[in-house]
Amino acid sequence: MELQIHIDPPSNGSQRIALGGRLDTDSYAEFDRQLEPLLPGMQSLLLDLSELVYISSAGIRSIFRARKALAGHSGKVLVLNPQPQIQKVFDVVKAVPLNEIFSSAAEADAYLDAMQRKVLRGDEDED
Amino acid sequence: MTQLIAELPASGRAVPWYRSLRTRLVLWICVGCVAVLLAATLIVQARSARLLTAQSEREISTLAEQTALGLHATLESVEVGANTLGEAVRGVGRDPRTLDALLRATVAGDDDIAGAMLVLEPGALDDGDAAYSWYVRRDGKGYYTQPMRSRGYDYHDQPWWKRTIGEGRAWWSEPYRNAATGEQTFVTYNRPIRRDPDDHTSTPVGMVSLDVPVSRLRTLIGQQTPDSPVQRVVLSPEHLYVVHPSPALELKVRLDDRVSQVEGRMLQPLLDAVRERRSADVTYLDPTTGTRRIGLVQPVPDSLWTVAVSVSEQYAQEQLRSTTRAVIAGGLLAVLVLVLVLWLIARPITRPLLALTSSAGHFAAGEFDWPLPHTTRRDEVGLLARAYDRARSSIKSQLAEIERMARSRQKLESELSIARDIQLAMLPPAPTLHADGHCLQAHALLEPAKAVGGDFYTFFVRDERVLWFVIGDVSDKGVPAALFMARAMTVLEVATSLGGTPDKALRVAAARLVEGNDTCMFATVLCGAIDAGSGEVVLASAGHEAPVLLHADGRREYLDVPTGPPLGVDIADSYPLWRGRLQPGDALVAYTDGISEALDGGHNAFGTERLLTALPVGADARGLCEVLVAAAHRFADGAAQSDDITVLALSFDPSTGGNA
Repeated sequence: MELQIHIDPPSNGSQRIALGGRLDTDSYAEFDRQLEPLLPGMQSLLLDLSELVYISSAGIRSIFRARKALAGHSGKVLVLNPQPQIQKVFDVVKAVPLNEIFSSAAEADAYLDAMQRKVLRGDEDED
Repeated sequence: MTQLIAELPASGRAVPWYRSLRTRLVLWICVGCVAVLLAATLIVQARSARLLTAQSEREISTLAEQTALGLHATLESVEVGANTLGEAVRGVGRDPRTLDALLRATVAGDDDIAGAMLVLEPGALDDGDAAYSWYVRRDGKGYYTQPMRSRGYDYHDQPWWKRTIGEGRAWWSEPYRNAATGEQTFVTYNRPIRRDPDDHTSTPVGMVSLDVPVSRLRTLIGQQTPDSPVQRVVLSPEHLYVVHPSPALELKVRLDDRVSQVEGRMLQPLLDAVRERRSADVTYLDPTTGTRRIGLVQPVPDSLWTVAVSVSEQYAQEQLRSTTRAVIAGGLLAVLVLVLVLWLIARPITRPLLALTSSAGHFAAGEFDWPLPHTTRRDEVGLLARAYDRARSSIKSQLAEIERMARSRQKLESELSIARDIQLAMLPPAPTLHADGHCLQAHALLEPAKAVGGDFYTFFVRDERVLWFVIGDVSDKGVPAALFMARAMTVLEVATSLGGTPDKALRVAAARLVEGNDTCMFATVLCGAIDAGSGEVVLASAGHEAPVLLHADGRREYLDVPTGPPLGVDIADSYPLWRGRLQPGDALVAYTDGISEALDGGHNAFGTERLLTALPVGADARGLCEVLVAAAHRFADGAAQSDDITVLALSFDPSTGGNA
């Protein structure tokens, strides 16, 4: 099964990407290639993994790289709705912090809103 | 590479003649020519049909005229013979022997004349003349003679005498035969003799008659059968068929009789024309053969004889058909010549193609320097040849490129092979520890998916009774993973040698591996330490798969070791430490995801359940490793190994008094 990548239009620095199929050593390069140009300036990347059936360590590394790239400008990678076997990998490997994995888009949005408010407050404090 | 090209179909061979362009060229032109020929013939035939019918009518008309003239000439010569005889009688005297000689001379002088008769009444020409009657007929080589007046026979009683004397003019008899004719059929010209030849009103005093055999007329007309396409007929003055191809009609039936019958009714116009002494033609259905015929009558000049000619319409059309046949035969001959010429013309076209094909065949066999002909030609063959030439150059340069790539790949493979040896040499031998009456046996197996891989393990013994072990799996596989693996191993060896517990070692190693790790390579690591005397075990996991505890009684379970983040990505504050204790007979099995996620042909993973059940009871560390790796391979069933495989096993047993 090939990897399916569906990239939603960005909105307000937030980018939603839905993955389906297998993210493994054969397909991670394509994911990296499509993700690379989007990373600069991205505030949050919401990875919808509801259709992803398999992820290998190469795929995990792609997520690490995205996290690292976003962390450079205080961005975040959130994971939405992973299937149980993917969730289990995340539990073991800690590809993303457990509190940044959500079972619904609403939860993720609420989390992001909270983060944003926190940042804004921080900015005001600094002023 | 040359091998691969040689497998192309052998193109150097000539194509079979029936597939050759040359054959097709010639064939199609030939077909075209034949089509044009046939079409032209049909058009010409349609146009000629009427023309030919008219021409054949003209032909039979001419034929009839000629026949009539031929017959006229014959009849006239007989008539002249009779006149000469009649007049000669006056001059030669009346001596019977002289007259006999005169008659014989008349017969002898003309082949058409078979018999001659002279009758003179007493005192016919001179007052003192005796009566004279004599008949001479050619009989074989001699002559048959008879007087015309004897006992029981008197010419005065014969109708021909009465008619000649009565009418006083010459006439032709109808055909007849009797004893005097020698059973031949004759027609006879009768001419009266007058005392004064210029006085046409006086009563004749004698007569001459000349016999013409009908067979002579038949010979004159020519041999013919009822099937002859052109039939010639001679009608007597009373319209009897004197010469006719049908034996049923000849000398038996008169045209008048025939016209009076139903089937001869359409001949009425001919009969009318005969009676009126003019020529006429009519198309009619021949009742005997059932074919349509064109009939024409032509009166013989200066006589009451008539010639009729008929020709079947088929005959007229036959002429057309034979003309058509001749045209088609000639046309086909021309096409044949054309084919030969084309065949010769096409040779110079196909031959260079064959030469090019032959060269291409040599290219296919890898002989790229084989000469390529015709490249300087300025026609299509030249274009093709130059295209071949360019293709050859391209293939040659590509082959060189492929060869170069193959060499560099070979070099890379050889380097990778050395790298593999180096990497495998980094893996330490598995120790066996004996302490306090127990034996702790370790074993590990590692099989990279590629030449080099990212899996690793290491052992070292501290205080001669504590066995430290590390098993790790670098993300992905291949050369990058192998390099990161080497670094991770080095860092971990340093970290574990610092003392303390596995969790602390992981924390130190994690901090070191994050530094400068922009590629985000990471390694999951399980690090543990086991006391060979007590079986006490401490484990710390950096995102690694849970190890299996195999109890002496056969129970087996995944140890719920809490994990921290993998090494290389995040710096964790601390890693959770798991504590436990092995009982004698227990075994601990750690592995990388090359086992748990070994894939079969259908992308199904080996999985943790199969892994658990695959472990045998009572096996030592080596046996556990080998059985598990074999089970994973069996599951993959020939599918390519998807990831590096590593299994590390520790068996804790009562000491067997070994010598470690």
